[in-house]
Amino acid sequence: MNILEVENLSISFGGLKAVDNLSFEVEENSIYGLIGPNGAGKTTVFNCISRFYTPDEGRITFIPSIDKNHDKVNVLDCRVHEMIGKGLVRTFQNVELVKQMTVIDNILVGEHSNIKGGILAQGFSLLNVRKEEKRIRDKALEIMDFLGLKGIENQIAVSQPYGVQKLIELGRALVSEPKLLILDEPAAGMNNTETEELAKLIKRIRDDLGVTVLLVEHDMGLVMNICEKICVINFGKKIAEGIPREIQDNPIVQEAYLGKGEDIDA
Amino acid sequence: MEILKKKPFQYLVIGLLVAITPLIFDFKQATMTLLNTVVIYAIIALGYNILLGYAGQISLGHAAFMGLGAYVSAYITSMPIKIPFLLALLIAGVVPMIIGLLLGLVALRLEGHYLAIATLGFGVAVQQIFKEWISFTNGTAGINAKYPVIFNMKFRSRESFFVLTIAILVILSIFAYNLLKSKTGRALIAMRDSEHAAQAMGVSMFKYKLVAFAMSAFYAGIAGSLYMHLIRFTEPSQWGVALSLNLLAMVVIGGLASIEGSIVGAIFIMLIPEVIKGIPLFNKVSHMSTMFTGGAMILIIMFFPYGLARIKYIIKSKRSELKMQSNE
Repeated sequence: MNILEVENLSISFGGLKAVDNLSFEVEENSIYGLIGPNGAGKTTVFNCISRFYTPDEGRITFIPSIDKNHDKVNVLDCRVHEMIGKGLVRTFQNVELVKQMTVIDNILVGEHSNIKGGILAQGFSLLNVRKEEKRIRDKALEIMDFLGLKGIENQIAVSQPYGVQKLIELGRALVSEPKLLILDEPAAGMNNTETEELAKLIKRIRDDLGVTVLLVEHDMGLVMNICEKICVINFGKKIAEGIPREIQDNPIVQEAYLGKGEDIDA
Repeated sequence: MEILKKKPFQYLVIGLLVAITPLIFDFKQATMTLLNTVVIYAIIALGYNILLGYAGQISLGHAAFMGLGAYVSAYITSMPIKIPFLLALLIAGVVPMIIGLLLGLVALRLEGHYLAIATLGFGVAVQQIFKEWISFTNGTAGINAKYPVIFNMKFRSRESFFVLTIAILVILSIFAYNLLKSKTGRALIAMRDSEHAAQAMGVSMFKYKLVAFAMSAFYAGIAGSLYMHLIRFTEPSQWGVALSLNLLAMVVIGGLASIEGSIVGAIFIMLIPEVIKGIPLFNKVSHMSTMFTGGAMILIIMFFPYGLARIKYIIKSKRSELKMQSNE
């Protein structure tokens, strides 16, 4: 069963067609990779799915639960801030944490749409609000434990090393108990060892937490290592789709990444 | 003792101590008026800090909300039907709050310098309305208000009024503290630091920009109402850009995104000039207090950019730095 279906997606900026009639499906409980050379339109697709951009054409359907057909979400009907409540959550390429907040408060931001209690109840710190705070705090600690971040919950986020900040951002996304996690170049700025650790972690997120992962990535190593299915795009168009082996052997993909003979200056 | 460490409890105790101080020491009437005004400005500074410090939205028109609170309060307490003071106080907060929501809508479309200019325009426009809407404000001639009466208790003396203003400041501080420690506070701060990330985490810009403007306007309206019933006279020229800028200075000097900072800032801006005026050597030079305050502001921004309320952290880190050096 598919959890995400992208059909005939197109978007242009000015005269440039950034994404051109792109379709792909992400199967539930899989790790799906969307790759392509620089400027291929990966992040644009990503921003359409997370609703930061509205595509000119096409449909995006998110099916958070396979049991009930009526649970289909037409993503384009939703606003950015509504997506997390539907079970679709994203991370950012350059880590976007609340710098001066503690690590745990940063993670709690991810719980925003799951917290009950109105403004007056919060202001007077009523019993139900205090209970909610306790509940989400415990949940955040659990996620921190899962990510190996135990013990730094009361430290300031910005004072953490880059790799840890990436994990905090991941924690912030995971605490909302998403069905689909979309990661924007998670390996950017990481060295080989860190990337290997990340690969293991992404697998654990899928296996232990049951979260489907859609990955937009530049780093071929990571994608080939963990993705079950890969979609390659170039100039906004899909040029190949398949399992890692097929993608590696595909001459069109090789050409897109490495260029071909006299076209090298393109 | 766990409860002693809780901020709301500390606010309560400090408030209580400050409120009874004038009952023990005998201050002059003028000093008491000044202390009352300081507390009133602390209330509006606190509200303004929610907007500027926590939500990261600027407004240079907040004097308008305070003025509106003052006029609304004066108007409804002078109506033929008796309206209890506390209700009038609440209405004086709610009316600016509704106007604040409208300003929040503007903030959805503008940011940074553009928002500053738009809110500046708003402030100037409202001040003009105060001048022209004679049936409501009595124009430039100004209007009077009565002493507040709560449960048959008349707050005539400055000392009793001080208890009232402190009580309201304590309640509003605790409210702000609780709110900013929970979901709303995290949403506002997330919005301030990165609108994209906040939205992706489910924070609605529409809701929280409006919440920030509405809350700060509510606090401003409450401050306005208290001011009105303390001084018992107001006229439009008080609610101009100068006050809005003073407010900005209070919050920045006291400490952005700090409840205590708002209060410290209000004390600094309101009290220091008066203290300077009292020094015999200085009062011969005209505007000495303004010059001194200006100079002090520059020094504070240079050396304590995070505000007076955070000085202790700076001292702490300096001390540990020194320790590290001596260990080496």
